Amino acid sequence: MRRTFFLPIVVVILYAAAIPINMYFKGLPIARQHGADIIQNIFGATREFVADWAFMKAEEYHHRGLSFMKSIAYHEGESFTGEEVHHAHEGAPAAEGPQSLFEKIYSSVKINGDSHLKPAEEKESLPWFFIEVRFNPNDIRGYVLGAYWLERMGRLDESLKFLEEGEKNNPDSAAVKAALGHIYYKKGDLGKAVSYLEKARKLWQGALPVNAVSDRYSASDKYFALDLLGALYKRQGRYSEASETYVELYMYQPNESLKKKISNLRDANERPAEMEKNREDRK
Amino acid sequence: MRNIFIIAKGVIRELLRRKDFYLIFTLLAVIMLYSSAATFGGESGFYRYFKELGISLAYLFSVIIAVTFAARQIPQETEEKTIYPILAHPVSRAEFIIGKFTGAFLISVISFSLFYVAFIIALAIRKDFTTPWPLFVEGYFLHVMLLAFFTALTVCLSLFLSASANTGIVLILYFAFNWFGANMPGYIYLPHTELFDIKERIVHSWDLVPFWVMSFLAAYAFLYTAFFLALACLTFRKRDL
Repeated sequence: MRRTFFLPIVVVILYAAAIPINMYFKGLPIARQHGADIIQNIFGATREFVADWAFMKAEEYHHRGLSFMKSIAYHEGESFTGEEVHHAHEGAPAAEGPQSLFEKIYSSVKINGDSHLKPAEEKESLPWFFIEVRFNPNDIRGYVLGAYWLERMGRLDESLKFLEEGEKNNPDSAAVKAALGHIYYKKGDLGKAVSYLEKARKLWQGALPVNAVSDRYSASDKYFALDLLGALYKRQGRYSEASETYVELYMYQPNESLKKKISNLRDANERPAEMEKNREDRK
Repeated sequence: MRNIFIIAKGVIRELLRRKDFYLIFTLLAVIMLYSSAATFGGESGFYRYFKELGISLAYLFSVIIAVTFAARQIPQETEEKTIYPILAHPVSRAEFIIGKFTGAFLISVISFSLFYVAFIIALAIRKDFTTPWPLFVEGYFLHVMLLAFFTALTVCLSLFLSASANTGIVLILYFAFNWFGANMPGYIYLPHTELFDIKERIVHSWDLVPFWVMSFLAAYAFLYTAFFLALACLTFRKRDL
């Protein structure tokens, strides 16, 4: 066979074979011992590029084929479910104002309207999250989002398994720990949920770059975890810790409802002490 | 015209003689079989993932076949000096170029048709009828146009470059146009081959591409193909062999 043909074929075979080979290789005792990963060894830095591409694919699937960059642009606006989109999208160009011929052709050929997968189809983006973390096991976003979709499908055990793999690969990640806390909460294991959320809170309080809150997505993950931790403390009767957690959350997200929550918790916390004092006075 | 078909027939015979096509077809079947059984997070039966993989491979492999076959036709004939007996017959140089293009183009279309049919059969076996069939027809038609474009470009470049350099450059162009599309600097002056890829519409079962757009793209591909072939004929006519 000619060389010209050989190289493209080898590249395609390598890409296709990398995932099953990696799974097999990771199962070997020697690989476990050294923490080796054949994908990391073969692809080097390229794997991060592939992982990012897989993440964009997952987003593209979630938006029914709309490219990643366009979906970001649309994210602030309205979107439709798959059932509604055919009516809403029909003849509705994405860009406002008059379109050039190229724009008209481009919008007829490429996906231009924003819509989301129907609930029954939501699993379709899952393969890309798994590919993402196979290529870059330090891609926390892949673990957290993949686990989120698994949880939405009611697959709590698979979600937990996926996150545990993420925790093993990223022991210092607050986002992974918070997601684990959330899944344990969903499973009804409140002890473990609180334990993981506390670990996540501590990690966020530290200054590790991996836990930097750099965008609104990571910020909302953090706020959600703090809110859940506060609620779980309250449920366990740990009012003072709940109040502390809400105070921390209030620093990031000041709002009236949170203020009221904190005030109620302080009252509840002081009530037993007041009752004790009254009893002493009566004596 | 007869001369063109005789030359093209010789190229097509090469497809049957060589093992490349069989190897690629087997590879496609194996990957599709493997991906159809793939499970992620305990879930299986991923329709869109399977469609994406199948159609991407059919597109990619047919482009690889088009480019690799087209790239080696003229350099091989020149290197092995088999071009002299051909041109000693009453065959013009333009007929030789167009014959080589037709052969390489037909090879890629035959290969793509077989890949595409295999892909559609696989979808039918999986009982996936989510994509409207006219969209598959449009996808097929547009990709055939794209194959004509890249075959003509490769034939044209084969007059200036070695087979391996030509293959590398054209495949890089294919990926660059498709991946970066209209985001490339100065892209307005470059060919818009990304317009021939409606994979997302097929995978996510969107509406059909309007007829006027299909006609426009057919004319667009035809003009580019004609331009590359005219350039190749002009260059080859003046060349000392």
